[in-house]
Amino acid sequence: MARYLARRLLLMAATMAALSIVCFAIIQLPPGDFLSARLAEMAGTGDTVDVANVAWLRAQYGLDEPFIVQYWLWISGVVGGDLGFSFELRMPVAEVIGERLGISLTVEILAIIVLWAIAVPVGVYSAVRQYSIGDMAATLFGFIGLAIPNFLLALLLMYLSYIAFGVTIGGLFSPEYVDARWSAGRLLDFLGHVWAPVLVIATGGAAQIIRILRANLLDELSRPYVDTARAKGMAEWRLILRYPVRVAMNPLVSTVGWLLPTIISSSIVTGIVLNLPTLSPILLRSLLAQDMHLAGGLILLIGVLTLLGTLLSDILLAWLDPRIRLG
Amino acid sequence: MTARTVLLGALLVLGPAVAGSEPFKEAPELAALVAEGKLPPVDERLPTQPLVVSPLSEIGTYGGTWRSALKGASDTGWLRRTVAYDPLVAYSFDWDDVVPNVALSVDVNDDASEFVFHLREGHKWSDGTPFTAHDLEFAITDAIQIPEYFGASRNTHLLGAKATAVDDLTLKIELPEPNGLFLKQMASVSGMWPLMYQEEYCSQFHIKYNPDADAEAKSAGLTGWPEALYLACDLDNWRDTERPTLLAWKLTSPYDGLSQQVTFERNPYYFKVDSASNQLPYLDSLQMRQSSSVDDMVLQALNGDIDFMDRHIATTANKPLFIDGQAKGDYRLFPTVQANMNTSIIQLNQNSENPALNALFNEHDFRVALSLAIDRQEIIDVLFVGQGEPWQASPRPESRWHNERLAKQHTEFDPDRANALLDGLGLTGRDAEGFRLGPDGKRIAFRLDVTSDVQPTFPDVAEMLAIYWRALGIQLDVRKSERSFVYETMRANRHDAHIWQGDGGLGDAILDPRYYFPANVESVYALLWAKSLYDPGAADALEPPPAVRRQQDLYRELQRSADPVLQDQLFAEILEIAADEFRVIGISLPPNGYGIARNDMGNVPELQPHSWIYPTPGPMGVAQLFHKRG
Repeated sequence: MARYLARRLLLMAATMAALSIVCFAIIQLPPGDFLSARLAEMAGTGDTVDVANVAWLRAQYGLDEPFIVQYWLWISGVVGGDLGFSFELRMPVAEVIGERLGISLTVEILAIIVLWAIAVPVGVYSAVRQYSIGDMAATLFGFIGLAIPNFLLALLLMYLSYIAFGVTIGGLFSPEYVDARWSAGRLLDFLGHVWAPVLVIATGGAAQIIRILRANLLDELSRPYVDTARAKGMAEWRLILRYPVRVAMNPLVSTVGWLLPTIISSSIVTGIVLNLPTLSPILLRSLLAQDMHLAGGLILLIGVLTLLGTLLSDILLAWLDPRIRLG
Repeated sequence: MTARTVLLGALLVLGPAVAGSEPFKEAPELAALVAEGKLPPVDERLPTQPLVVSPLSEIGTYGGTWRSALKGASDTGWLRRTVAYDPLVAYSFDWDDVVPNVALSVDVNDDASEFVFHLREGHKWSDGTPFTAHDLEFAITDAIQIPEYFGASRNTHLLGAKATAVDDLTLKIELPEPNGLFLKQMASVSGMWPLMYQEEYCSQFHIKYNPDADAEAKSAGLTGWPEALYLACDLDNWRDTERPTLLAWKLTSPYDGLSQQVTFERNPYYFKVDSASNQLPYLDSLQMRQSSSVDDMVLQALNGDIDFMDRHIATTANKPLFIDGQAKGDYRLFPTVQANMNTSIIQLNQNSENPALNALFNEHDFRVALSLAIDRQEIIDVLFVGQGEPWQASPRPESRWHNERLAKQHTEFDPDRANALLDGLGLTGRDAEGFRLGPDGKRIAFRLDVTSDVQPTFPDVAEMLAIYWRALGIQLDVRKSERSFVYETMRANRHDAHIWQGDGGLGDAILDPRYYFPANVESVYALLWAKSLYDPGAADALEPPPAVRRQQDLYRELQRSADPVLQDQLFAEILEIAADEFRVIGISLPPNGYGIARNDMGNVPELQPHSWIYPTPGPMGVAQLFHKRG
């Protein structure tokens, strides 16, 4: 196990190095740089641009250096623990990420809990009661959830809650609590807002889990060991939950690690539509503004989380299913 | 040299007489602070001659919050339109005049190269310290003009200017060249720069005044002292809550892109009173929610959570929605006059490096033919719900520079004449698909990179043009592109054509005449000719044809005159030549815009010009907005 882990970690380091080059290059691909994006935005509002000053600014930001030099400056900082400086927000990237990470994690973990709490029981039920009314209904609603894009669902929810209850559900806090310290009132206010994004993200992912679990469980339910257990008089639900469900969960567990990077990336559109103070709108903005260090830092973070998640899945899988052995 | 005081509206005369007649009144919260001894009395906080504002409709009452919204992390535009418009001299409400604001009066010499601003005695910053000409000298000399300036835009009209504080109340500005438009420019949205820098506070970030400034900035992770100075004090930055201000409200919660809400509270030292001697502003505070989504902002407005706003949300597409929601949200729509004179202007690159296109685009008849082939009424009906009228690039009908010939020529839909004009140019050869062949024997085709994030209708207009011009036998290749790509291409003069909104329809026509002759960096139908005016030293600047040269010379003459009447005559002549030249193609006059105001908001402006140079609603004096009681 230790050797396996060491090898995996080494591989991860190499992957990260390659990833950092690729992501920096991709961010650099569009023509222009942070300043030209900024200037174009200003021209749109009708502001006069002081063209002579731009060259000086470009030098200050180091944007006039060749790609490889810019990359080196950035990555040598990152390796030393300095994620760089956000051009647009004018603060250290680590501070930006730190400020938003807590809320991002909370929203995403809540969403994952709700997602699994809905999807797993429904998936088990649909398999055990195959082709029943309940199974059909679960399938129907699951597919509707899958088919409606998240942003549309978010817009619908916003509109419906405005029409029906006269409340706007954008953001995560009401104006009076935005800058307040945590208190019982703020927590209630938070819960009054957070249900919308949680519901949107959860509905989007539920169908997939329901279908995978259902298919796997159906395979397992017809295995001889199930019949044997039943013949021995084991209680039906206890049997199902104890053996076939455990096996049927394998594919889900092997992908559970992929949920980690979604902390930043999954809810981008939802986050923007619902105006959530999470990391995802920041990622989009930084890409549009060509804010190199911030965008690079976030994408790198997504990369790290993906790699960590995969590792975590593999370890979990080995623990859950003794048939799987690590070589 | 005879200096004369420019009569800045009638307000100047009113000043002391009216204001002195009654004791000044103040907000109850401030009166309480005065009673506790925490604040000097209102008479001591106000200048001896405060600016007296005649409210748009009524005298207001104190109290309440103005709620609005900001989009994303860099929407300083809304701040500069509202709280941050209080320049030395300001535009009048109708944009016809320049009136005193922070300055009491201005003297101008005859060739418009020396301006003396007289300040108000006893005018104070929000921290209670005196505001003097030395603050302005510091801002102009040590902050705005320095080569290390960190922002991408600044008050460029002040570059090269020498500012001297003659005494505490007198600021002399000597310009390197005469500029008859200087006061108009100082009243524009850019005129605010010099008023943001309190010398005492901001000099701590300046290397000249604080030898450690650079080290301190670098230890905070910044590139150096220029960035620190810029972040703390510049007009573009609203993240320093410590900075003293002259504005009606003082920043209390910063706009740093991360915090979800930006707030301001009343500045007890604000220098304006209403005509009943109540110190302004009426409203206690401002609250601007930061949102990444326009939909979220629209819902807030529908729900009555926005008191007064038009930015981002007041689009043509949203109008029916807002009209339907008026009763429920307890708000109403108020009309604004668009300063733009056109929904879309098409610029064909007449300095193109492609010789075939260059030759064609420089043919007057070719441009006329393209214009005649456009069914403008159809575009208006399809894209602008029937509102507007066919219009070329010409000042609006409300403008005093309105020129009927320039506005309406070649706007009729006449494909036959258009074809005849092209035939007349010898472009009679056709290829297999029916496209006309150019003089080089190749199909006449050009490309239009169009961006949708300023006006969502640009791509639609472009697609319709492609259809009309296809019927002429000319191929328009429309590409949807990202904005910074479009701009990069244009700056390098590699574009064939460009489509943009019609800036310069009202008072801004004379300040930003980009479509009337090649004048500035936005005149991309002849960027290299424009350079011969604004950057004659540039290696790629081209000598323009005589008529354009004449326009540029007239504009230079206009800039050298301090006489508004002469300026108007010269500008009218420039527009006459523009009508002869017909360099750019317009589509239609934009219909009136609108904004949203809660029903309990008082002094909401009706039919105010809407522009950026005139940063609507700023010139109304937003300190007079209030919440009606009961």
